[in-house]
Amino acid sequence: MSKSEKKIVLKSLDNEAFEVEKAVALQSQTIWVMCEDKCVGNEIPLENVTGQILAKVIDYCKKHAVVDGDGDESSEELKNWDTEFTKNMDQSTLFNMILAANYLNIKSLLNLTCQAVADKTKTIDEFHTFLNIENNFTPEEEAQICQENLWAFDD
Amino acid sequence: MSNLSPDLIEEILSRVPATSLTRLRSTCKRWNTFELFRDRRFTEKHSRKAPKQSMVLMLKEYRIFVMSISLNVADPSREFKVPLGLKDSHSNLEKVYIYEAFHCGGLLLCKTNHDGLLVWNPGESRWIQPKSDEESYRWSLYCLGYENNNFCHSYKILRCLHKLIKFEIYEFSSDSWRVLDVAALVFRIESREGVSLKGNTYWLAFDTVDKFILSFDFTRERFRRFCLPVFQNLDAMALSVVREDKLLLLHRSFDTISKMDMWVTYINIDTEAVLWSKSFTLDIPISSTDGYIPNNFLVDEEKKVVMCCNRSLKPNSRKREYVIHKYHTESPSVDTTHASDFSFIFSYVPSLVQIQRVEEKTSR
Repeated sequence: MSKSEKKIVLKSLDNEAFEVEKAVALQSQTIWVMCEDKCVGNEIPLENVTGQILAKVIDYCKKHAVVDGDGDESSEELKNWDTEFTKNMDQSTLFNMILAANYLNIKSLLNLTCQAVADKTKTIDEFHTFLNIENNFTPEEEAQICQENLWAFDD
Repeated sequence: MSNLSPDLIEEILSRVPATSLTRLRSTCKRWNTFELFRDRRFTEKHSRKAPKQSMVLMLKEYRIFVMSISLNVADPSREFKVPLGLKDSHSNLEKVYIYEAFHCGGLLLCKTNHDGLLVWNPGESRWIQPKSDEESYRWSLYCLGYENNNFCHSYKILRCLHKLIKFEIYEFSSDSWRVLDVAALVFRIESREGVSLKGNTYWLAFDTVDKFILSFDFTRERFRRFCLPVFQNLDAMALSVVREDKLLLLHRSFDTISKMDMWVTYINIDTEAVLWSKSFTLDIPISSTDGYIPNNFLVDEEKKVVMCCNRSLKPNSRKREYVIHKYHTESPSVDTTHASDFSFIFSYVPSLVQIQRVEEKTSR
């Protein structure tokens, strides 16, 4: 196998090109299917992902490809890396990561990013933002329901 | 702000603890309709994926309170928070007295004065008729368990009649009680407060010769005996569980006045042998040495804290004493408070597991 066959070019929505090892890119089921199809060349256009997000996805895939390959790093270390990876992402980046992981069909990344949003969403306002909903109770109704569920509001 | 599809929103919500979802439910009509809570596919996914957040509950003055325990070294304290909102649409729960409570797999079973047994979680509540006269109801011991067959837990209630002479099983799927075909037990349960681990119930029990662990296997519907560690003196013991996988035993020998030992085992209902190992030793505060022995306790492995509920040795006394112990620390601080009347602490992990519906009858 020549060197070029081991590499693959991923092109983002905003035309940013990333050359990556095939083993790294194939963690995405979507890319895997595209490569199987052989109807694409060495360059794969990803029309739903921006370069900024794709760079992060590739970081993740690189980390996980290496670990799966040589088994040197413990799962504990990998877990810590995952935690650090999502720690400083803001909500909108996380949403874009979720959309990308879903589109590229990378299950472990989807799990990780969904869990990160779940962990970071604490206040009612944060929930409303991500669910795109409004509080449509009257103050009286809200007070009554809060009273019934007081125990859940306490921490 | 987000343009996530409903599938992805569900994927995220299935990872949000049940307590937060309850909070969310109360702020928007769309969510308050329980549409997601009622979807069995979602609740099963939620019980697999959402973090299990344990809370400490206390049964006190016939009501259940949420407790918050501050571990400030200078001033460790407990606080009784609001009563748990055991919400029910057709009855006024202000008037419901809870005599006993039991937690298993995200559901609370409450023995009440009102309409019999109440099975509750933040998503729903269900009343179950005990189908017995009041006297027999008062004396019976009820515990909740489930069959360990698959993802979807099949919950049942075990009823132990007074003196363990007869047993009955309640099945949610048929909403009916049936007599269990096992012989009367010739031993006694030491404390009514059993613990639940992986759907099965465990108690400390004794006969004329020995003390041991009695368990009820809800899958095979039979009782099992497990041995305790070998002690010179059996003295005082209490049981607890941690993280749904370990059984803990607190043992206090009257020979050593100021210490007691915590033992641990990964019990498996399918095997005979139980391998106990000593986990750590606790100091008993001077304020607590007189006349109280462990009744039950809770362990927080992260905070390295044991909250111990002790009972008075005086016959017929309902007095309780609560002691907070810290372990694996250089300055183990302990705190003791006394409670005048009967009370009981237990842990509860809120969940959205659905209580099985009665299967549709084919003929009317």
